[in-house]
Amino acid sequence: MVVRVAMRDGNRRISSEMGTDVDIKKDRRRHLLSDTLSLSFSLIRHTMADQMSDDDESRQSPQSDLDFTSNKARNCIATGSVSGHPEFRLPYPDQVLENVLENVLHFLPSRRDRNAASLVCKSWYRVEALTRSELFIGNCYAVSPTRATSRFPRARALHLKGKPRFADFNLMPPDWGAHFNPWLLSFAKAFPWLEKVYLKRMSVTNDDLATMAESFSGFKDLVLVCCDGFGTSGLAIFVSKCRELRVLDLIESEVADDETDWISCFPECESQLESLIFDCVESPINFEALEKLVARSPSLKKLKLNRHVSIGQLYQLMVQAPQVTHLGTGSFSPLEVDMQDDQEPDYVTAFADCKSLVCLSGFREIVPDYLPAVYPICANLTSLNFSYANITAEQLKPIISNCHKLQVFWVLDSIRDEGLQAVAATCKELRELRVFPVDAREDSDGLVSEVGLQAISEDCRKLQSILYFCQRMTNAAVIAMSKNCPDLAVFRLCIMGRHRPDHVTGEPMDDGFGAIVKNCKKLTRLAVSGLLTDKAFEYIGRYGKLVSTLSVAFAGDSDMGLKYVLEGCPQLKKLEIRDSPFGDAALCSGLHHYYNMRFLWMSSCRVTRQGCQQIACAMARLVVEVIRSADEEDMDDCVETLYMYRSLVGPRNDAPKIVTIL
Amino acid sequence: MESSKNGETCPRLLDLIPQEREWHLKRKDEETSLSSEEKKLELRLGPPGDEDNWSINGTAKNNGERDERVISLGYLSSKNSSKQSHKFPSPEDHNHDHQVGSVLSPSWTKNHYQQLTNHPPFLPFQSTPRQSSPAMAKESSQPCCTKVVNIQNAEKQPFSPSYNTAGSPYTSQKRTASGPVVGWPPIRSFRKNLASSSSLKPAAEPPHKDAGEKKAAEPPHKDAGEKKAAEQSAKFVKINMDGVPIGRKVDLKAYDSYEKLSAAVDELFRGLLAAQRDSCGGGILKKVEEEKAITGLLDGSGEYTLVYEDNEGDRMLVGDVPWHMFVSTAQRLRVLKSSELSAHSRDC
Repeated sequence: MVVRVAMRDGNRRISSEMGTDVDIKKDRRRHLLSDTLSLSFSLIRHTMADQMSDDDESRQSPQSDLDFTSNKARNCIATGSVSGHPEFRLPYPDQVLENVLENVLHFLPSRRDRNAASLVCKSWYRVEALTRSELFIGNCYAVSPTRATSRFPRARALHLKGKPRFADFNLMPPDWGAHFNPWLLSFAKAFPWLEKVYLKRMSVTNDDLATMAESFSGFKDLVLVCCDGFGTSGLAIFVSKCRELRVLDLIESEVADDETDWISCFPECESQLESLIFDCVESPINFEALEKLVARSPSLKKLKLNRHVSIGQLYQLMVQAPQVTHLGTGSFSPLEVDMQDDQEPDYVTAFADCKSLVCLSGFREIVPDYLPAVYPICANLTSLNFSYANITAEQLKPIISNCHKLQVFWVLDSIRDEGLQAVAATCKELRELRVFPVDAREDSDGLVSEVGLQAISEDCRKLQSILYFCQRMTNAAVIAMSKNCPDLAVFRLCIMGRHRPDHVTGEPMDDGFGAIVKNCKKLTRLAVSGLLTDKAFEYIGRYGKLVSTLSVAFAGDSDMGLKYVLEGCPQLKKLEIRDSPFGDAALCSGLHHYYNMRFLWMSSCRVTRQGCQQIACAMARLVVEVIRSADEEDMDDCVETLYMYRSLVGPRNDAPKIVTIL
Repeated sequence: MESSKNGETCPRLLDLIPQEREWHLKRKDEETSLSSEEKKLELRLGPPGDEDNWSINGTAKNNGERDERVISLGYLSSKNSSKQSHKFPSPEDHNHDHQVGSVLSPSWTKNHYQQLTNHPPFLPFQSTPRQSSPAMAKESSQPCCTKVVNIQNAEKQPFSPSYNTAGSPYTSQKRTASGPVVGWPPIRSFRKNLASSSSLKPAAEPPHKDAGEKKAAEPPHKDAGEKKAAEQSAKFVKINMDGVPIGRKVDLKAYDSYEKLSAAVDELFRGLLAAQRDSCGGGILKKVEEEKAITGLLDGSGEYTLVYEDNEGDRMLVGDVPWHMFVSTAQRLRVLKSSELSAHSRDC
């Protein structure tokens, strides 16, 4: 539906050149906004002078890195000094309108919608900035903390991401950066009322935890995902000082064992704790203290224990907290103490009493004999994580056959294709499946194959997200999945042996991935593997119009591969490539798009220093980091790792020596 | 003997070096410390067993493309192989990217590197020999190949920071394709080591109920992999001790002698016994140092003696039969007060 849009400047209608045709059905997200929001957004975008990138109408949504858009807005509206667009100097905002607006915008939680709203005009920008309570910053180096705090003076929550994903696989030096400290210091000054911090792949120190606890008196939620740099001593200080703590979630983070009993440091009074997740903490904990903590936390809904909690101890906790909805079982194996004199606790009843339990995980050192204990709650489960449980299909079947409501299932490939067939037979509601390898080596025996994938695709038609590690795969099975699962938004296939073709036909896996991008119209995230030629990338470029995250390893023939993608995927935001033959020519073909992306990662490819330098010179707002391997000298022309990202801040000053910013 | 043998092999290597010299010359500005002698010592060897390939090809490839000779010890560029396989789309090559020989092909270097400098970009170990050469320069001009190899290796380690917990240095992405590549498959480190996890627990863990200790209990094992060692089966038997209400279980198969079992029993019950004594004695918690070791379990000399029940229900003294027989017949253990022992035997 195409609508003509015009801006009203008080009573004066702005000249019709400023109007634009907008198809408001193009982007579904716009329907979340009121009509004026969506229409005006498009107008502003079209007319604003954007020195940073080509601003064409085909670009649909504003960037999600909020301050990137803010700069544009500022240039043209907020500062008042507008280059070449005098029509944009609007009159003083209508106070009544602003109040109404404030109330309306309160209902707009999505940051993308808020970004759009902020572009409408100066008063909308200001009101939106005042009403935004959660700040999302996708790249901690893209914007400075002070900029964020000054634009959004009433923020209560911070969501901050640091390193790119490949850092998880040791492809980045450990001291690369992403330090939380500068953000913390800035926010401590500006937002003493801050309640929530969510960090992903950031480096957090014990001092940071202490500072957080001291600076934010009403602090409620701390979620650390894939973070490192701190230990149990930092946790101890943190929990002892945060009297209002509701959520402490440590997820897949590295927590150093400072041999401090942090569980005992929770305040003795009744606690508001709603979520305590510490399954990634490798050090033992004081169980007595934990038991008492759980006993005095009546609101506790999520509890995920680490592998030092035995099944007997789990039992004791479960009877204290039958109201849990999310349970991580810890080791799920007994200590010798548990096995005394035939007095094993009634685990079945303990599970049966947890009537609200919907999400089950843990099983870190599972003794499968105890699995029947979970039978009572299988029927309620929507999420089951067996990804640490080395169990067979036979051991899985009795459980999974009762899990009719299951939507999220993480499992090890020890269950084999047969186990996956059992999953397919029952779990018709499955939305997300992740199959991890028991033996994560390239030359390990593959325990699952195309057979399992095929079975899942045939019966789990609502599948939206899949991560599948295997050693052999066929195009046919992948094509079948592309046709059977139209809702697929995330498709990540990892054939662990590098360059493996279709093991039946010997062909490259091009056609399989091609079918995925072609048939899965909702696909936003794709990870490819196996033997792939440039053809696969041609498909991705041609059909992957919604793809925003792409992960490539050991694939492609030539620069054309990368070119196809950079030229063909308008929604591409995160591109990570390793060990593929893409060089400078390909790199330069993406110049038109790099400001739209959060980052580009290329390691062990063919880019040279000159190529990177060219990019750096051509694009002022791009930070181009060259990370060399340890023993390379600075003068080497080859580039081991290129990591580049858009930024309003410019080159950072905390990079280690091994990183060169061009 | 060895030196003469090395003398034989070294000339072969030295023959190949001249090809490399060109490359070295190109980089002369960076190699201030190198003499030509040292350059000769900069050996790069392929993986074991590939010497034949290497030496044969070495003489053949005289077209000035020294890239293919630059194969760092044990570390072959995985990218080399991958590129090679892309260049030669025939199916068998894709499976053969592990072979060193297949990398040594001129067309690979020609086609792929024409647009780049002659310098091969994907072999980061080029620089290590330079750095290690001062040490090597001290070697005689008849380097023992293996020695040089060792030095090169040894030198390499400090230069490659151990970024990764996967065990291979950050720079060793360029290993032979048969060896592991950094960060591949893309599994986070805490998800690894699951292959060895079995459904059985190892033998006795230290008690978690240390009374009054604020410190967390000692972790039995840090790494799941360590824990699940080659135990295929275990034999857990209950063990009770006089004066301690809490029984334990021990895995008899975890030990191979009576002495070890005795030590384990001591470990299991020492803390519990001390705690028991404290609680009886008025509640003042004693520190760990004041726990008494439980000794003399086997010879009757200590305060306690170890007995067991066999598969016929008889109570026997531990230590009389060969260990294997004991393990197979024991059903239950008890730690009795030695003073009570004769009383029991009288009753039987």
